[in-house]
Amino acid sequence: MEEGGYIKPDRDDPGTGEATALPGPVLSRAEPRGLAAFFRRRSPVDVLFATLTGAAGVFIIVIVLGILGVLLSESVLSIEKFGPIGFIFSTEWNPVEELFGAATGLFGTAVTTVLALVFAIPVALGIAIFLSEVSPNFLKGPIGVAIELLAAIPSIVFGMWGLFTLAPIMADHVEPALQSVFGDIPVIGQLFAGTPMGIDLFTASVILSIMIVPFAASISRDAFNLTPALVKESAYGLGATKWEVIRDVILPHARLGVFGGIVLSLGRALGETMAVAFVLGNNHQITSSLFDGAASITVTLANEFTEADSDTYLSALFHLALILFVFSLVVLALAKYILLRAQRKERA
Amino acid sequence: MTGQQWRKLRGYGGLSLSTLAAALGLFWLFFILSDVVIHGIGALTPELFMKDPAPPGVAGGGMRNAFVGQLLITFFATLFGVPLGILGGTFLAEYARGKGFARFISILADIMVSVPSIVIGTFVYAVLVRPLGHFSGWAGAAALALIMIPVVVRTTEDMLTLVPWSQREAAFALGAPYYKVIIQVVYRGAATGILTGVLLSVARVSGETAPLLFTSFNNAYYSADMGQPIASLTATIFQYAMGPFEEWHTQAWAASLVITLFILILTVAGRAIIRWRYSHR
Amino acid sequence: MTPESTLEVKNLDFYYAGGVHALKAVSLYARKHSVTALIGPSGCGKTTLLRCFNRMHDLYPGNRYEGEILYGGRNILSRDVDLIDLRSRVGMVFQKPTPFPMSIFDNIAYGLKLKGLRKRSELSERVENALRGAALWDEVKDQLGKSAYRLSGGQQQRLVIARALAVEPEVLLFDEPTSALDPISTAKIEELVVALKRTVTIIIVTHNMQQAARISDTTGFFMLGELIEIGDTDRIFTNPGNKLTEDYITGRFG
Repeated sequence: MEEGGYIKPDRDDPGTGEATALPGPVLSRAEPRGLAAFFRRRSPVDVLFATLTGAAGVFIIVIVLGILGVLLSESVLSIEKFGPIGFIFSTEWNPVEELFGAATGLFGTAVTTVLALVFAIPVALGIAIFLSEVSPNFLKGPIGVAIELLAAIPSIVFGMWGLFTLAPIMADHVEPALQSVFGDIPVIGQLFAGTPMGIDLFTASVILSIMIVPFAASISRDAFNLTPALVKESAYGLGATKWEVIRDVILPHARLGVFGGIVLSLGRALGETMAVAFVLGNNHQITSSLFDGAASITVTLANEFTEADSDTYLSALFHLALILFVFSLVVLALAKYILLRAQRKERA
Repeated sequence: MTGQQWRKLRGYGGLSLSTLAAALGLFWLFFILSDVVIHGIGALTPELFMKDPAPPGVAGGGMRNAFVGQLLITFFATLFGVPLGILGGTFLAEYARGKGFARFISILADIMVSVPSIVIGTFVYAVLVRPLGHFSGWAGAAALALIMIPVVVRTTEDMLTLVPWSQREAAFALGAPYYKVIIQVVYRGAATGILTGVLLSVARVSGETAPLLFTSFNNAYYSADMGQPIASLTATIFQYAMGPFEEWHTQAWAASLVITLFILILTVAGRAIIRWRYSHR
Repeated sequence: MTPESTLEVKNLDFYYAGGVHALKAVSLYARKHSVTALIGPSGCGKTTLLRCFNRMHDLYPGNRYEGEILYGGRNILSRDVDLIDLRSRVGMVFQKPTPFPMSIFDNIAYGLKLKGLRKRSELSERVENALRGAALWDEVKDQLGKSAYRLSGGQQQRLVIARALAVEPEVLLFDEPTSALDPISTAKIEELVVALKRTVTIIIVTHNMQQAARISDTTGFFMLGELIEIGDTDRIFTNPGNKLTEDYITGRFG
């Protein structure tokens, strides 16, 4: 009866009722309170239905806690063997010797995610600016939908397109060009060293950036659209150009929402699997060149989970999944927090 | 050049860049879509749907097993996920409306929508695959259902909240208990919205690959037994694309074309319904 | 054109993008260094006319002007008018305070920076002058670096007036500037408007007839997109020439 227990105190205790809470339909404040009253006052079917919905609602919490608990217990072997901190910093990934560490996976995940954001943010902001301020009205709808369709394309299709179409273009044209421009510059040249194969961090990041652009763009556009028309008109009224209004009024006004959108996209990019699985190479290494293969956490899981032939190997993979899950939860919760704050500020 | 001319020039520059960004977004969309069509259309024959795979490297054969498996997994995922999601959304929007507890679950569901789907796969593997000793269609359906539930919970909550409170009050005034009010009045008012949410959640899971890799796994043969490993389009695309045979690649493109079209049509339809239902009132 | 007029509207028609004919053959002029009030029931076209003076309607595609507005001998509705230039000479204050998301100082300095003014000392001086001009200096001089959102509604509205004054416009348009304010803040803004006419020409739209009577020199009464009557404020309120004007100012409709 967990669920009934949850419903009761919230419903009957006037102290916890928020100002926005709508009055309960069945219980008036003057009537007896408590669980017993709740069951007495309602028809049995209503109690059953309330309990059923409550159970389904609580199921969300059960899923999250369940995933955390199961991943944790599956990781115990790995945590004991490699240590909770030691695992994170170990660059070892050796199934033969059964020595594992998350550092290479974290490296791949971090580099592809950060690079994808670097590529995606300017494009997403540009699209958002176009959709909210530049586009003629009759194009706003169709182009907005088209950008969102980009987000609906399954990630496996992105992956396949990346492998068969984008990677060869990268290897033959883009990467050699970058090499010839930046290759001889000290330090920076390191990033573009090696033979361009197209199956590397760089290509994976480009694909990832294409995937997250629609998210960041649509959240940013919504944030831009919240700028009050009068404030924009005030800036125009002072003789500002459209660009100056965007730069000085709309962007600052929307910065919190835009930032939330970027963090959300970051959370998305962290966990993306199939789009990068084909083109990252699954090499467990930490490398200075973006033209080298690497392994992200997700790619490692996708490629090796069904091949893990020992308990330690499997436990190490669960350990990776746990790290990814916790990290995603934190990032996504942060994004949600920022977006909620932006919303609240807007209402105030 | 005067300061003012310079300001205007810079403005045109900025606006042109933003237009360019939008063009780039459209370019990627059309590049990817046209590429999938060009590579896949040739193999889009009746055999693709009617025949099972030929032995590796041998020409001919189709992907009947994968289409059937995909349908079964998606069907059962929807069967489990949608009712649970709708009930959960009902709790948040009705019985627990306005309570901090409901807000917490709602935010948690929002977060769950974006959680890496591959993690869900590992979780289901630990719970439903390893204890039983083998991969199964049920495990795949469970993984997809877990991905659907938060999506359906959130859309249901939003759609129910859009139904004006006065409609409920009118029903309460007639003496109806809350569950009847919800089922007969609120659900009816929100039906289109909820249905759209379901469509979009089906679209969302239809393209999922990662959570199927270690749950339903794959099967080179035709099987409609949910208790056994079962083929799915996405897992087969993964296997075929990674494989060495030209024939496989072509079929993977064709399967990608089918699944992409399916998802895009669902998505566009869902959006169109929402726009039609909630803007012209 | 009469010698002392700054703005002269000649046979102006205005159509919104949807086809609504919002102004019908309006002709009037606003005298230099005076306050002209536009009154009338809502939807009568007074705000529409106000937004013609700085071509605010051009922000939204499909809106159409017919006729002329002469300013300094030029038709500001003609295509080749530079809107940036026009708007920095014709300032505007809106129904609600519209501070920008920046500090108080940067709000005031914004228009000046747009014009290319960069010298800190000169900016400071002009900001101070503008704030003094808007009777806000004493209240904010110690918090110029703070966000403009922190000010009260009345202070924000004076901040917005100061921001408009900073670029030294020749004309200031007020669109119901006190409709969101309490009586005390309203009184301050009204005082300010009267004081400002020494340096700028003011056109104010108001739904408050007492306000028009208190602060304006000339009053124009609009109904359904037409200018019914315009004249000295004293005469309009004591001896209106038109039955509709009389009905409106005596409160029989509106």
